[in-house]
Amino acid sequence: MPRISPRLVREALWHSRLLPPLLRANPEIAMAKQELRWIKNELPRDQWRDAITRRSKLEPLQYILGTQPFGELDIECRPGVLIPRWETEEWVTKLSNLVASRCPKKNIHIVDACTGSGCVPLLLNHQLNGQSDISSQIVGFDISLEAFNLANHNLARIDNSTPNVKFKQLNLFSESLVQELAVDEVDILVSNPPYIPKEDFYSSMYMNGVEKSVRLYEPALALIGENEFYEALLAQLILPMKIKAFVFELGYQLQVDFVKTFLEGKGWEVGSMNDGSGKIRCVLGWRKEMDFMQKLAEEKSS
Amino acid sequence: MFSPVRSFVRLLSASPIPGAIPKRTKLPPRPKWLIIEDELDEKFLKGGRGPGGQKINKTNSKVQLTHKPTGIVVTCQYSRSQELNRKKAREILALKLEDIQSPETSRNAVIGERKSKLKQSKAKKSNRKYKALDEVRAETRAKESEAEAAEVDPEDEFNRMLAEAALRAKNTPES
Repeated sequence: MPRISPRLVREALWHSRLLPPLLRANPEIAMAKQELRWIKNELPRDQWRDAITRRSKLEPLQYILGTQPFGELDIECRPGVLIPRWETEEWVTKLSNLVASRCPKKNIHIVDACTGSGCVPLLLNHQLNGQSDISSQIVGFDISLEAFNLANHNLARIDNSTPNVKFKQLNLFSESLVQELAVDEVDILVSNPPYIPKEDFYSSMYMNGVEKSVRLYEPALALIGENEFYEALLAQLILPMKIKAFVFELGYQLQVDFVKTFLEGKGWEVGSMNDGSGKIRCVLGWRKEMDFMQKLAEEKSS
Repeated sequence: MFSPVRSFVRLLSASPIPGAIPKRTKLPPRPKWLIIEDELDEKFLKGGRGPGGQKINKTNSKVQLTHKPTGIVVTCQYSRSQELNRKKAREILALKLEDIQSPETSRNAVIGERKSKLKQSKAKKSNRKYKALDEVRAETRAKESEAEAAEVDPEDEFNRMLAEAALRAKNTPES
């Protein structure tokens, strides 16, 4: 951790007595001020000190405050389950807008693998049922019991009485996954699987690695993975269930290439998508009947 | 017809008395109609440094709006929620646009006027209060000094009496 200069501490003290400890998590004073404001707004006064101490030990703010905004929803976050990221929010919003406006099918079935807090199914459901004549049936599954419980909790919390969303506790690598999933028909498969290779997980953010706060506090189960998850998604779900389109979040061009070579000559079109800061973020594929999906792809090859 | 009471009440409650402080409940509405989505260029600033995705956990979500016809740029990162920031940025932009269109009657101008007038009236009140206090204080001080002047020192008085007595004794011829 870089040393915090006494001058910065003095500047922070001038603003508020509570501010200096937050400098450990935020090298810039403006960011620290903002976090202090959020802590003050969202927590009762007697919890401020505890929250600031926890944050000064680099615990993610979302675990301290308990929630993360995700689109129009507020997703509850608990230690042991990955915090929803803005990149995910971005592609889920784009996907739901596209499906709502262009999808020829009016009753659409979606499965979300490695669902974590349940943010993807819940936002998709919220967007699709809010803005269009499309009705959706969404199933999310995750191997972790903590994630499964939190997803169900979030489903109950966002109480627009949605029997359209269901969560299950399943292992993506299980041999009988299709039977356990017990869904007759799937149109779109989405997933944000773990995609950080081990060597990057343990290297610093400046070496294309992981932020310290993420490494210390977020579950490695939801983070470490390479191509095996994409292979499982394709071989366990896409091909046997005859799914017509998919969107997977990822972090490396190599993973896009892996999916492309896997589906070569199988009648699939595959494209990729960047996030708002220009980094490679998604691979998506579609069969002929879902070719409206190519609107999302910035670069594609069949 | 012309009830004197009613016209007096009306005089008190009718709002556009020249120089009156605008009421908080009667400010001009937020000019939402000035926002035309096609004229906006919206950007989400997420801090491009670092690898992003699962590797980084960002809490802030800054929204930047550019109004293409005028080139006004507004940013908002007040809340953690991008949706709320988008709404707030539009509100701020609308206020700025109204300021340009009608600088005298815009909501911002009226709010500013209200603020300065409230400040003025507050200053006036406190001036009045302290003036009155000062007057009272000056009065009591004057009274005190008067009383002090009127007060008699017993020793002085005794000496004066002795001296008087001595004088009287001198003057009276001995019989």
